[in-house]
Amino acid sequence: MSFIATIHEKASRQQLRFLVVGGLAINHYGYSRDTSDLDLFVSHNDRAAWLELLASFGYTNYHDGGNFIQYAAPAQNAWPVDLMLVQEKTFAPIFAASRDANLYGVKTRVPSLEHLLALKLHALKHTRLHRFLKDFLDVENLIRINQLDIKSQSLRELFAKYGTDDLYEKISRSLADN
Amino acid sequence: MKKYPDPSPTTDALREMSQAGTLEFPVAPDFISRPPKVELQAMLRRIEENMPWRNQRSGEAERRLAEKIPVEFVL
Repeated sequence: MSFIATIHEKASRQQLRFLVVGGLAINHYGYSRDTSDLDLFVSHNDRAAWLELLASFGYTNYHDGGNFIQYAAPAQNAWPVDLMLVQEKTFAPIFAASRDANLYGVKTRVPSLEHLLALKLHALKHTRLHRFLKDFLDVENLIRINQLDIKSQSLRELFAKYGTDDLYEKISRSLADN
Repeated sequence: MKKYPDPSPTTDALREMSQAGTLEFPVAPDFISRPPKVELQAMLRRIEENMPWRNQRSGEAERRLAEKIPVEFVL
Protein backbone atom coordinates (compact mmCIF):
# COMPACT_ATOMS: atom_id res chain seq x y z
CA MET A 1 0.00 0.00 0.00
CA SER A 2 1.34 3.45 -0.91
CA PHE A 3 2.05 6.00 1.78
CA ILE A 4 -0.77 8.22 0.56
CA ALA A 5 -3.15 5.26 0.74
CA THR A 6 -2.01 4.54 4.29
CA ILE A 7 -2.37 8.17 5.36
CA HIS A 8 -5.79 8.30 3.73
CA GLU A 9 -6.96 5.13 5.44
CA LYS A 10 -5.68 6.03 8.92
CA ALA A 11 -6.93 9.61 8.71
CA SER A 12 -10.35 8.43 7.52
CA ARG A 13 -10.57 5.98 10.38
CA GLN A 14 -10.01 8.85 12.81
CA GLN A 15 -12.29 11.17 10.82
CA LEU A 16 -9.33 13.47 10.24
CA ARG A 17 -9.96 15.74 7.28
CA PHE A 18 -7.15 16.82 4.96
CA LEU A 19 -6.54 18.08 1.46
CA VAL A 20 -3.51 17.43 -0.70
CA VAL A 21 -2.02 20.76 -1.77
CA GLY A 22 1.35 21.77 -3.24
CA GLY A 23 2.91 20.09 -6.25
CA LEU A 24 0.62 17.05 -6.35
CA ALA A 25 -2.48 19.27 -6.46
CA ILE A 26 -0.85 21.40 -9.16
CA ASN A 27 -0.30 18.25 -11.24
CA HIS A 28 -3.92 17.21 -10.69
CA TYR A 29 -5.02 20.44 -12.38
CA GLY A 30 -2.93 19.71 -15.44
CA TYR A 31 0.38 21.48 -14.92
CA SER A 32 3.05 18.77 -15.03
CA ARG A 33 5.93 19.59 -12.73
CA ASP A 34 8.12 17.74 -10.29
CA THR A 35 7.77 17.92 -6.53
CA SER A 36 9.60 16.26 -3.70
CA ASP A 37 7.20 16.36 -0.79
CA LEU A 38 3.63 15.75 0.29
CA ASP A 39 1.87 18.92 1.43
CA LEU A 40 -1.21 18.36 3.54
CA PHE A 41 -3.69 21.14 4.30
CA VAL A 42 -5.33 20.62 7.70
CA SER A 43 -7.30 22.46 10.37
CA HIS A 44 -5.68 23.79 13.54
CA ASN A 45 -8.47 21.96 15.36
CA ASP A 46 -6.94 18.64 14.26
CA ARG A 47 -3.35 19.61 15.01
CA ALA A 48 -2.78 17.24 17.94
CA ALA A 49 -4.29 14.29 16.12
CA TRP A 50 -2.08 14.90 13.05
CA LEU A 51 1.04 15.16 15.19
CA GLU A 52 0.17 11.84 16.76
CA LEU A 53 -0.66 10.18 13.45
CA LEU A 54 2.56 11.24 11.72
CA ALA A 55 4.63 10.29 14.77
CA SER A 56 3.08 6.82 14.56
CA PHE A 57 4.56 6.50 11.05
CA GLY A 58 8.02 7.43 12.36
CA TYR A 59 7.99 11.02 11.10
CA THR A 60 9.98 13.49 13.15
CA ASN A 61 9.22 17.17 13.49
CA TYR A 62 11.98 19.11 11.74
CA HIS A 63 10.47 22.56 12.24
CA ASP A 64 7.25 23.83 13.76
CA GLY A 65 6.44 27.28 12.39
CA GLY A 66 2.94 27.41 13.90
CA ASN A 67 1.17 27.73 10.55
CA PHE A 68 3.22 24.95 9.05
CA ILE A 69 5.07 21.93 10.35
CA GLN A 70 7.88 20.37 8.37
CA TYR A 71 8.59 16.70 8.91
CA ALA A 72 11.63 14.63 8.18
CA ALA A 73 10.77 11.31 6.57
CA PRO A 74 11.59 8.12 8.48
CA ALA A 75 13.45 6.66 5.48
CA GLN A 76 15.16 8.03 2.39
CA ASN A 77 12.53 6.65 0.05
CA ALA A 78 9.60 7.87 2.16
CA TRP A 79 7.65 11.00 1.37
CA PRO A 80 8.72 14.06 3.32
CA VAL A 81 5.54 15.63 4.70
CA ASP A 82 4.61 19.24 5.40
CA LEU A 83 1.47 20.22 7.26
CA MET A 84 -0.10 23.55 6.38
CA LEU A 85 -2.42 24.60 9.18
CA VAL A 86 -5.30 27.07 8.98
CA GLN A 87 -8.13 28.05 11.27
CA GLU A 88 -11.27 25.92 11.07
CA LYS A 89 -13.27 28.84 9.66
CA THR A 90 -10.86 28.85 6.69
CA PHE A 91 -10.49 25.08 6.44
CA ALA A 92 -14.19 24.16 6.49
CA PRO A 93 -15.31 26.05 3.34
CA ILE A 94 -12.21 25.00 1.41
CA PHE A 95 -12.79 21.38 2.37
CA ALA A 96 -16.48 21.67 1.46
CA ALA A 97 -15.59 22.96 -2.02
CA SER A 98 -12.76 20.45 -2.57
CA ARG A 99 -12.59 18.01 -5.49
CA ASP A 100 -11.89 14.30 -5.83
CA ALA A 101 -8.40 13.46 -7.04
CA ASN A 102 -6.91 10.10 -7.95
CA LEU A 103 -3.39 10.17 -6.57
CA TYR A 104 -1.43 6.92 -6.56
CA GLY A 105 -4.62 4.90 -6.88
CA VAL A 106 -6.24 6.61 -3.92
CA LYS A 107 -9.38 8.69 -4.18
CA THR A 108 -8.33 11.66 -2.10
CA ARG A 109 -9.20 15.35 -2.21
CA VAL A 110 -7.59 18.56 -3.45
CA PRO A 111 -8.84 22.15 -3.11
CA SER A 112 -10.98 23.59 -5.88
CA LEU A 113 -8.95 25.31 -8.57
CA GLU A 114 -10.09 28.71 -7.28
CA HIS A 115 -8.93 27.92 -3.74
CA LEU A 116 -5.64 26.44 -4.98
CA LEU A 117 -5.01 29.66 -6.89
CA ALA A 118 -5.85 31.66 -3.75
CA LEU A 119 -3.29 29.62 -1.79
CA LYS A 120 -0.68 30.21 -4.50
CA LEU A 121 -1.39 33.94 -4.64
CA HIS A 122 -1.06 34.12 -0.87
CA ALA A 123 2.33 32.39 -1.17
CA LEU A 124 3.42 34.78 -3.95
CA LYS A 125 2.37 37.79 -1.90
CA HIS A 126 4.46 36.69 1.06
CA THR A 127 7.19 34.77 -0.68
CA ARG A 128 10.90 35.17 -0.53
CA LEU A 129 12.61 35.61 -3.86
CA HIS A 130 13.83 32.05 -4.35
CA ARG A 131 10.38 30.47 -4.52
CA PHE A 132 8.77 33.30 -6.48
CA LEU A 133 9.41 31.82 -9.92
CA LYS A 134 7.99 28.40 -9.02
CA ASP A 135 4.77 29.90 -7.64
CA PHE A 136 4.53 32.39 -10.49
CA LEU A 137 4.75 29.59 -13.08
CA ASP A 138 2.21 27.55 -11.12
CA VAL A 139 -0.32 30.39 -11.25
CA GLU A 140 0.37 31.26 -14.88
CA ASN A 141 0.14 27.65 -16.04
CA LEU A 142 -2.94 26.80 -13.97
CA ILE A 143 -4.76 29.74 -15.55
CA ARG A 144 -3.54 28.94 -19.06
CA ILE A 145 -4.06 25.16 -18.99
CA ASN A 146 -7.50 25.43 -17.39
CA GLN A 147 -8.44 28.16 -19.87
CA LEU A 148 -9.47 30.67 -17.22
CA ASP A 149 -10.06 34.23 -18.33
CA ILE A 150 -7.54 36.47 -16.59
CA LYS A 151 -9.81 39.43 -17.34
CA SER A 152 -12.81 37.85 -15.60
CA GLN A 153 -14.24 39.56 -12.56
CA SER A 154 -13.73 36.46 -10.39
CA LEU A 155 -10.00 36.23 -11.16
CA ARG A 156 -9.53 39.96 -10.68
CA GLU A 157 -11.17 39.66 -7.26
CA LEU A 158 -9.03 36.65 -6.39
CA PHE A 159 -5.84 38.58 -7.19
CA ALA A 160 -7.09 41.64 -5.30
CA LYS A 161 -7.93 39.62 -2.19
CA TYR A 162 -5.01 37.19 -1.99
CA GLY A 163 -2.36 38.64 -4.29
CA THR A 164 -1.44 42.13 -5.38
CA ASP A 165 -2.17 44.46 -8.29
CA ASP A 166 1.43 44.03 -9.39
CA LEU A 167 1.05 40.25 -9.54
CA TYR A 168 -2.10 40.61 -11.60
CA GLU A 169 -0.30 42.83 -14.07
CA LYS A 170 2.70 40.50 -14.31
CA ILE A 171 0.61 37.35 -14.82
CA SER A 172 -1.61 39.15 -17.35
CA ARG A 173 1.43 40.28 -19.31
CA SER A 174 3.00 36.83 -19.19
CA LEU A 175 -0.21 35.15 -20.42
CA ALA A 176 -0.55 37.69 -23.21
CA ASP A 177 3.06 37.13 -24.30
CA ASN A 178 2.69 33.37 -24.31
CA MET B 1 50.80 29.19 1.20
CA LYS B 2 48.30 29.57 -1.59
CA LYS B 3 45.16 31.39 -0.47
CA TYR B 4 43.00 30.66 -3.51
CA PRO B 5 42.96 27.71 -5.93
CA ASP B 6 44.02 28.16 -9.54
CA PRO B 7 41.36 29.50 -11.87
CA SER B 8 39.09 26.70 -12.99
CA PRO B 9 39.00 25.60 -16.65
CA THR B 10 35.53 27.18 -16.81
CA THR B 11 36.96 30.57 -15.87
CA ASP B 12 39.61 30.23 -18.60
CA ALA B 13 36.99 29.27 -21.14
CA LEU B 14 34.86 32.27 -20.23
CA ARG B 15 37.87 34.58 -20.55
CA GLU B 16 38.61 33.15 -24.01
CA MET B 17 34.99 33.65 -25.01
CA SER B 18 34.98 37.27 -23.90
CA GLN B 19 38.11 37.86 -25.95
CA ALA B 20 36.60 36.23 -29.01
CA GLY B 21 34.30 39.17 -29.68
CA THR B 22 30.56 39.26 -30.09
CA LEU B 23 28.82 35.94 -30.43
CA GLU B 24 25.86 35.55 -32.72
CA PHE B 25 22.82 33.75 -31.39
CA PRO B 26 19.58 32.87 -33.18
CA VAL B 27 16.72 35.31 -32.73
CA ALA B 28 13.24 33.78 -32.53
CA PRO B 29 10.92 36.01 -30.54
CA ASP B 30 7.87 33.87 -31.35
CA PHE B 31 9.41 30.68 -30.00
CA ILE B 32 7.85 29.62 -26.70
CA SER B 33 9.59 26.96 -24.68
CA ARG B 34 6.76 25.14 -22.98
CA PRO B 35 7.24 21.71 -21.40
CA PRO B 36 4.73 19.15 -22.64
CA LYS B 37 1.85 18.09 -20.46
CA VAL B 38 2.47 14.63 -19.06
CA GLU B 39 -0.44 12.31 -18.35
CA LEU B 40 -1.22 12.62 -14.62
CA GLN B 41 -0.56 9.03 -13.53
CA ALA B 42 2.68 8.92 -15.55
CA MET B 43 3.77 12.20 -13.95
CA LEU B 44 2.95 10.87 -10.48
CA ARG B 45 5.12 7.81 -11.14
CA ARG B 46 7.95 10.08 -12.29
CA ILE B 47 7.63 12.20 -9.13
CA GLU B 48 7.74 9.08 -6.99
CA GLU B 49 10.83 7.80 -8.83
CA ASN B 50 12.62 11.15 -8.48
CA MET B 51 11.72 11.68 -4.84
CA PRO B 52 14.44 9.53 -3.19
CA TRP B 53 17.38 11.20 -4.99
CA ARG B 54 15.84 14.66 -4.62
CA ASN B 55 15.57 14.15 -0.90
CA GLN B 56 19.12 12.88 -0.60
CA ARG B 57 20.53 16.17 -1.90
CA SER B 58 22.53 17.98 0.72
CA GLY B 59 20.69 20.85 2.34
CA GLU B 60 17.31 19.58 1.11
CA ALA B 61 15.56 19.98 4.48
CA GLU B 62 16.89 23.55 4.81
CA ARG B 63 15.79 24.33 1.26
CA ARG B 64 12.29 23.09 2.00
CA LEU B 65 12.19 25.09 5.20
CA ALA B 66 13.28 28.28 3.42
CA GLU B 67 10.30 27.91 1.08
CA LYS B 68 7.72 27.95 3.84
CA ILE B 69 5.34 30.89 4.08
CA PRO B 70 5.20 32.07 7.68
CA VAL B 71 1.98 34.08 7.21
CA GLU B 72 -1.20 32.11 7.89
CA PHE B 73 -3.66 31.79 5.03
CA VAL B 74 -7.08 33.23 5.83
CA LEU B 75 -10.02 32.76 3.47
